Amino acid sequence: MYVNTEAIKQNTYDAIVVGSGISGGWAAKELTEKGLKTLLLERGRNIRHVVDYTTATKAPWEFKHRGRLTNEMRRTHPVQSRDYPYSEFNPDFWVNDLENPYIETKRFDWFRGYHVGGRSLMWGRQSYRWSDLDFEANLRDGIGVDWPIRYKDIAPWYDYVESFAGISGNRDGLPQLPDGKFLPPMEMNCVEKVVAQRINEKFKNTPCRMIIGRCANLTVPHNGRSNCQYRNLCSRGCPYGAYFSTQSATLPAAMATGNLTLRPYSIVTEVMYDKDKRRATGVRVLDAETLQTYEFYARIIFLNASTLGTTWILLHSTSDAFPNGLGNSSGQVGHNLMDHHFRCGASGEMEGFEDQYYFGRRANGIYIPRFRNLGKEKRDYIRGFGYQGSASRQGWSRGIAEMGFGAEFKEEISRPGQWVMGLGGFGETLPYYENKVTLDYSKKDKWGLPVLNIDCEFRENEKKMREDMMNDAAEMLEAAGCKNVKTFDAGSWPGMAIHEMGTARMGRDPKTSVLNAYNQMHDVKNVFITDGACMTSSACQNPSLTYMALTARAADYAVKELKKGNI
Amino acid sequence: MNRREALRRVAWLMGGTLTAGTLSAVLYSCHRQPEEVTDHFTDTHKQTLTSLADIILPRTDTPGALDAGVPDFVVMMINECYPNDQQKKFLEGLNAFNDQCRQTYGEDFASCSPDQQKQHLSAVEKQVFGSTDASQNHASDALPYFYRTAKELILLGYFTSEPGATKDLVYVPVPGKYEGCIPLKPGQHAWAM
Repeated sequence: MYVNTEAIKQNTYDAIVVGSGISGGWAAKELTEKGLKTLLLERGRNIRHVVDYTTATKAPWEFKHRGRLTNEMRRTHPVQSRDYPYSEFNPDFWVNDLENPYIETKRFDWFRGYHVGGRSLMWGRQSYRWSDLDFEANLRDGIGVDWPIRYKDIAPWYDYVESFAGISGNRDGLPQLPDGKFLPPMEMNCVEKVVAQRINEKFKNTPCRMIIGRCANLTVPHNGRSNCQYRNLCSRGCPYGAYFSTQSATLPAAMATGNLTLRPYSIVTEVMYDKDKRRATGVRVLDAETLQTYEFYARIIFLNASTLGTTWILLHSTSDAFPNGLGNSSGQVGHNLMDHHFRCGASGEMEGFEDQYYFGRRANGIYIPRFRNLGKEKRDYIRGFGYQGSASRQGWSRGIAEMGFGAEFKEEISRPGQWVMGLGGFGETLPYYENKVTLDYSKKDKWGLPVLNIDCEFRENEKKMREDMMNDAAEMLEAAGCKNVKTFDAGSWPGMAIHEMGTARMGRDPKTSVLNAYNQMHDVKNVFITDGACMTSSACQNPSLTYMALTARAADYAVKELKKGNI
Repeated sequence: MNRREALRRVAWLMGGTLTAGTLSAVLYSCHRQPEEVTDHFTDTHKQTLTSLADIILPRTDTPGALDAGVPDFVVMMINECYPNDQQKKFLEGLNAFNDQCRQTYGEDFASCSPDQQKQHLSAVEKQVFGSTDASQNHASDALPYFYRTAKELILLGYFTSEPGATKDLVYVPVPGKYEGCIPLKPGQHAWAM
């Protein structure tokens, strides 16, 4: 008995955070800074800041295949190979799909990184606030359930996380995209400036405005981190710590408190539940290396294992009290899966700037916030989309599909080519109950654990929206004076935008939602979920900044409740 | 933090990082043992590619494709990065490229005079990039596939090589700043990457 109690004591913390990506890193920082002894569990390996970014400073010629995928990489990473993020430039940041299979009832591109920092190392860094246009959307349209929060509830937390993370941007005064606590904005290049000026002028009677992107890259030194060096190699890990990641920002802050224990190789297989106390008691961990199982205990548990990772844990945590998964009395866990739909827009050429160029590789683009279905406008779809884009001068690759060879050809394509400007939309997806994930025991992963079966597709509203996404982009570029404007729709499958969310949604009613206004499980008061699973709708903005704000807010609430003795 | 707890934290951390290193070493060797890569190219194929790379991107006042090891790069890329069916098609197209050359000039591409090589290349480029009367080509679509792929890999291999990126293009590994609007100097070459 003595040994057993001692072991339990050894494995007992004030809080456990599952997952070390963007939201898990924030949870660890907030909880440790509030004095809680916190165990941060990560299912993958450790990646140390800077020293383990093995490709970060390599020159192009130091990559044997110059970044391209080999046959062997496609064999071991058949899903990750479906789009550009997985490449020879950072292959170790992406999961081996053979070891981590799932079932696609319908195609779903699940891009994952299992390591300390998660996708905070490879994320796109675009950081936009939501507004009440988004938080009121479900109520207004009678779709899904109403968000239990409004902009005023989260605004101070946006301030808080932006101030720490370091978000560069311009204060543009747009109601649909609230301004934040920004570091100085990055600069538009010559053609972007002109396109912005012309769009903002020609469409001045509409809400359509082109602004510089807001991103989690530092434009000035911030909190001991260096500013961006304009290499635009972010997804390899930044040796300057110039973009927000767990490693560059939240993990060192959490470590500095002396309250953090980080345990890599810890696959959480289950949240343990005490039905008498109606509280979670801790988590069960499978050590990914030794295959031993451990139990860890805590008074508060934050699940930040990523949208689908967290959902897997809930569905796999069955008990008499919760036969369908922890905190799933609503039956909503695993449902309402969303992602953004994208890869649709237009591009064109701009003449008249042949004597202009730029210096440096800006790790950011321009943004056109949502302008459709604002105010009284009613399209044949609801919600809307925003555009990301940029202008640049063509490089040598324009020579591939052109006639020509020899000395003159070589000289010509060595010089900067035509200016081109492109716009690509990111569209909101509605929360459909039918878009869902379930646990499937017919297939097992490398550790013998059942896998997710994903059944998700874009539907009519998204398809109709894509027509505007394509045509509006062309119209704007033409209005801006671009020539040879061409539209594109390269096809978009759920998962591909890597903004999956919604499978344990927040809501006001425990009968129809999983989490309350503070990301606390309706059914299990000491479990909080603040990764993408919590999202009630998807809006069209990149979601990570909102995860950060919700996490900091939930951690604040959780610790106050703990101190009041309510959990 | 008491001493006992401090030790525990360190133990976890050490355990984490140490096992991380050893395990990834093991995994690395399992996953990354060099796969069986077959070289599908004959000497004639390689000679053809060498001549082709040289004629597309010759050495001028800047280095050329041969200075950058481009022919070997093209062969390696086809062997390691292209699926079987595309490898086959590429080689078929490469054979067709040489066959056409022999029919017209009586020699393999590599053995032709520079003028003949240029003429042949112009003819092939017209076939590949030119008008749509490709239907009368005796070659299937393998020749255009070969030529487009070869040209892509030759350009990629050169402009991302050290000589190409640093002596032809302008490689600035750490720009340190961003300037969105600066005058282009006469004759200025593009930034690498």
